[in-house]
Amino acid sequence: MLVLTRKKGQAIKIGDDIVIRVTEVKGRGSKALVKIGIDAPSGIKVLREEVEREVADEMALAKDPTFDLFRLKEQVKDRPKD
Amino acid sequence: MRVVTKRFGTIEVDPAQVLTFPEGLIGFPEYHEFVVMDFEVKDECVRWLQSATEPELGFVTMDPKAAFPGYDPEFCRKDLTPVAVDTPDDLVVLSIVTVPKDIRKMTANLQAPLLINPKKRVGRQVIAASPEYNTKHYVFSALEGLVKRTG
Repeated sequence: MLVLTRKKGQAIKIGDDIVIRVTEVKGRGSKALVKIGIDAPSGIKVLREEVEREVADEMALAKDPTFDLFRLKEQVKDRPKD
Repeated sequence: MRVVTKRFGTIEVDPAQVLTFPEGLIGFPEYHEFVVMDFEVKDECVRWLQSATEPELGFVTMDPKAAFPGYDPEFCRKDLTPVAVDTPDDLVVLSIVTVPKDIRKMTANLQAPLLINPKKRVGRQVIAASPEYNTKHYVFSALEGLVKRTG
């Protein structure tokens, strides 16, 4: 893996149209946080690495629920009409 | 065709009603064919999504705008291509709902909605690029917020 050192405000270019910029650095040691700004074309997917795992975990929780679907429908139907 | 479900027993489904998810759902990539019960019924905000091949694979889904009227997620263009529609209004957006024992605490996954092209009957679960959406948005507190606002 290519590893580069950057200061706040400095950026890295990937190809012609992706820019990754360090916008904020705060804290020290294990509490250090880095804020990163990303400019990329709309066809490029940009996600935190852990998001897909979080979604898959939520899908496993949502699967095959045991409850009364019709009672639920009634409760949600009581929503205001616009 | 017959679809065996754990929840509703065996149901009869018009094969033309089957939706194809070429990549499956996130976490369930091996299942590609689904049926949304009452898909054609307008104004139905809670619907059951059922795998056409796995009886135990079913989900509660809802129209996210019923509880979150300002819901406007962004997606990367490549994710939209497989479900591309002629006009944006044609795209059907469904959120997967997680229903815990206390159903008042049910949550909608606004981060990874199902996008469905109803004409091609193709769907895809897509992770929204908008950072304000996550996998757990409380549905009932959102509904109550709507009631308060509208009086």
